[in-house]
Amino acid sequence: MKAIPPSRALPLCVVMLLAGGVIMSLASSPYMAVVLDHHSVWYFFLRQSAWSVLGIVAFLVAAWVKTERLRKLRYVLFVGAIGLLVMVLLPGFGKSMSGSARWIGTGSISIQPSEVMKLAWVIFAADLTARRAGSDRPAKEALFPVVGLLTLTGGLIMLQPDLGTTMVIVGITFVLLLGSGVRGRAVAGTAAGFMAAGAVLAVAAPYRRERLLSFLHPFSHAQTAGYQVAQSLISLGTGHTVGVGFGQGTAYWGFLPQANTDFIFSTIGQQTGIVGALVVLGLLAFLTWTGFRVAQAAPNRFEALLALGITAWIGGETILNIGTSLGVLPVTGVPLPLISYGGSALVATMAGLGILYDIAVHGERGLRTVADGGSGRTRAGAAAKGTGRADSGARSGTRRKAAYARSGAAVAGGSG
Amino acid sequence: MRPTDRTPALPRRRILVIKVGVALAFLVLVAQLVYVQEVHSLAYAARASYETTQIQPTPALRGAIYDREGRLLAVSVERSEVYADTNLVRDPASYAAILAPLLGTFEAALTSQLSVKTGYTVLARNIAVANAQAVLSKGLAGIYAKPTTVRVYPAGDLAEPVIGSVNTNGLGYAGLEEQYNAPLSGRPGETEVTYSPQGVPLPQGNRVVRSAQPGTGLELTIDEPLQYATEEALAGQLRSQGAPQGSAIIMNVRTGAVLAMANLVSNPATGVVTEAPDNLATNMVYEPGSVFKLVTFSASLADGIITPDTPVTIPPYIDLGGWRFSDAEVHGVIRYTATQVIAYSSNLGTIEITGRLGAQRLAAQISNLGFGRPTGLGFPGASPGIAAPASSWSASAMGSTPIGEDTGVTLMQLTDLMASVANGGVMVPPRLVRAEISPKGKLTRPARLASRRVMPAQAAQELTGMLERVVMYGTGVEAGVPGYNVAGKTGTSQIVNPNGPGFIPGAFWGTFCGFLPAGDPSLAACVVLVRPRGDYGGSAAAPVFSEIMQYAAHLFAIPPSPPPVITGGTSQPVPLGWQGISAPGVNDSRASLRQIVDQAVSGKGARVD
Repeated sequence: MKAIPPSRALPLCVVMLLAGGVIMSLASSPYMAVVLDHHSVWYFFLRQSAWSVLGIVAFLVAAWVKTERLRKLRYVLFVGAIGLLVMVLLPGFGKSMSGSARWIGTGSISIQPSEVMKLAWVIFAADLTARRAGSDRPAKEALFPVVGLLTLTGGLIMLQPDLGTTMVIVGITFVLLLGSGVRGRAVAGTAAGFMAAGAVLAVAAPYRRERLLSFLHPFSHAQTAGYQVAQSLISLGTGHTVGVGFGQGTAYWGFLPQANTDFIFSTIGQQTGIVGALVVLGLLAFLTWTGFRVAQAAPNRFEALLALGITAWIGGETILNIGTSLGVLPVTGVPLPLISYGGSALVATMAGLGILYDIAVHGERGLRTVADGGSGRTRAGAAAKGTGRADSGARSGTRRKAAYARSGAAVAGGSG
Repeated sequence: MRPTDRTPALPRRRILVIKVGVALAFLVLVAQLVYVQEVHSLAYAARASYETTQIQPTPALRGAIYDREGRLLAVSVERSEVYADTNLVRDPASYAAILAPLLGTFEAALTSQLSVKTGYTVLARNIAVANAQAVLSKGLAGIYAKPTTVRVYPAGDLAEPVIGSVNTNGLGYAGLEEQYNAPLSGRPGETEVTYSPQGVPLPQGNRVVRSAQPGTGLELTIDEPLQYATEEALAGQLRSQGAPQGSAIIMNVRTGAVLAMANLVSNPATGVVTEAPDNLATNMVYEPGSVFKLVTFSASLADGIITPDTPVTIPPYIDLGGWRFSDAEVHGVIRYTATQVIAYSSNLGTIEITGRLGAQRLAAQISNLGFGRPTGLGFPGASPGIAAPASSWSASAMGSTPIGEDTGVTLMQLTDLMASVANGGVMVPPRLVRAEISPKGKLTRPARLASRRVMPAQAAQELTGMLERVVMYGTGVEAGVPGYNVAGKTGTSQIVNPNGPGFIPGAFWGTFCGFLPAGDPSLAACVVLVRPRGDYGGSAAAPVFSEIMQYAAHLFAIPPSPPPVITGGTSQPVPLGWQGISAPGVNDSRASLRQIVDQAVSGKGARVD
């Protein structure tokens, strides 16, 4: 199968998901906008639109900034994000909503430092694993600093508390450790340690324990801990095949909590049915698959791991979020990438995707450089428009194999 | 040495493991999505409707009440109630400025109502539907209107104790409104409304389950103008007699239709007369006094114990069970015909005749004539009266019961008795409702209760003749109606002291019951006044009877009676016996003398041979 190049697939996918998110924010938020005293049914829609514009800017800036520069800024980014996370916990800076302090800022502008940390951590950890990890190196060289800093970061986030973000960051880290070639047994052992810690944390807080127990039988706890999942399943059930229509349905009328944020997938499922739900799920799966393609075609190890980390971020959040909406995972509070309402998450995700796009371009440039002897852009275009599809497909297969073997050296040489 | 990352490609097997893991996760999601949205979706959807909907009634227009000629007595009108969810009101002052003129309320009051964030707040009830629509067209968030109805009585409080009333929820809670509440109410519609957890009705959540069905209308037997005339006549007499309460019934003797049923109360100090709080005619139980003598006379005539001309020897007094019974005036041993006994309302003569009848027969006749039993009207609060069985009678009962001092009756029961005499001995159960009118206009006559014979036709006819004498020259001459032969009977009884033994001195129930025209009766009427002035209540009630029957006779175009030809030598007005030697207060007899003289001189009215 001839796939469209990631550098085209990715922006297309992002634009579609972003547009879907803006439309769904209008179709899911007017009631809560009024109930939450925002004085306008357009409140969430307008803000999501503004955040989307800001997200596109973040995407372009991240794509424009060289990855090497980002790599050099990793300490600034990481320490800055740690600083923000500490600020959240300080009285006077942090803002509390529904039992957790996750925001800083005043009035209508507030940011979620844990989202900034996702971006900072993925860059920082990619660098760390790129430099220290490998099948030919002792596992502890990479594991000790990674696990140490992860414990610090995750601990700060758990103090908010925000289990969902912690899980995403831990997930990104383990994908990076696996991808970087650290000895499997060491990774598995560390993972077991984190799982044990996670289990202890989950059981320690009564509300988390209840959620954990209730997600298996949401309707037995429909009025208490299982309420969200029960309402989510009801919303999806009423949506059936083609949905009840945009802006229709009862889910977002205060029945489904977080109907425009963490549970937006259920709102989509109710209003557009399994058709719309599969489109969204498919686009996000496609984005994840594209991310793997970018990672594997990346011209150097840092960019490859950075791409892999961002892919793990998008894919992980997708699986956690939709899994929660469908009742197969306990409720942890993870946004659906690009769709859920929320400025910090959207801008951070868009920045990450901008980086992914940049790496995709690097990777493709490398491929073409090798395959076409330095003037590939024109030739590749001609091939794509070419008459003999089967022929070009067969040839592109051989080209790619060659490219994988050499691209790293070519780009490394090029970038100096 | 700094670690390097010159190895460009990622370990492919590791990446494959990650990819397979991610792919499996996505597959699980797709599988679960198909299960939730396709396989099991209906079960989930069913839980949604179960949890969030509520059935709301929509009001049905209550049936109207008409008089016998279709004149409106009660009707329900569609109105609107405007209410607010004050939590959604942003700017109370500007809202109030828009709403005040449409709701007919004060802007300042509305502003303060809208400023209190309590949620549901009624702003105006019973406003015109058009105004409510104007309010809704302003599109103010949090302002709603819902349909309501209001009960209107075009004839004011006319016959209010009979028609009854509805409460603020539109349910009948008195009178016919209560008795016929079910058919009048119709069936409210049902609308399924879906609410948000915050209690806000969802815009797309309304579904009409069943539309409202208007109530059935009632056509009464009451005639509005006659009712008005009856109430006016009764009110006038209440004022002039200083009586605090009074009631009157006019009834068609052939059909049992109640044509007028007036119940009034008066403030003796101010003379202001208003509708009674209760239907006295059916609900007030009292001792009827001499009207009750018809029980003895009907039974005695039926059994052949007496004829109208049977002579009765009346002693000066009778002692029974430690009580001494006497007539209204002291007299020696006199002889009356049976007719004279009832015409002059002799207690002792009646007791003498009852002695021949026996206690068992008297008790049987009391029950036979409907006393102590429901009339069949079924009116809310209607009393069956109080009639003790003969076995529990006291030693003096054979003196007090025949003259109406033991049995508790209602005016409706007395009217039934009078109507059955008029109707040749057949008692037709009374009716207030002539027909039920379906919302589509179909008339249904309610099933009638069975009539029953309570005395032989012969006895009824003889009794009619005797009762004619009451009005002709006896105690009831003031009940006379020009051009018509009237039969009737007065009744005066002392009011039992509710606070102690004995009676309230000078306090009487004054009753007159009668019918016309005596030769071919069609209308019966009973009037009772509570505590009229003077010692003979019967003569206080009689003028009301005269006035309302005159009106009714003309209204129903009843042919006047032919000049009466009274046969039988003993049915003469003379000798007057003790009636002639009147003492102060015996106005019944003095009036009768005057009447006879007047008639004799002028040659008008009843000819007496």
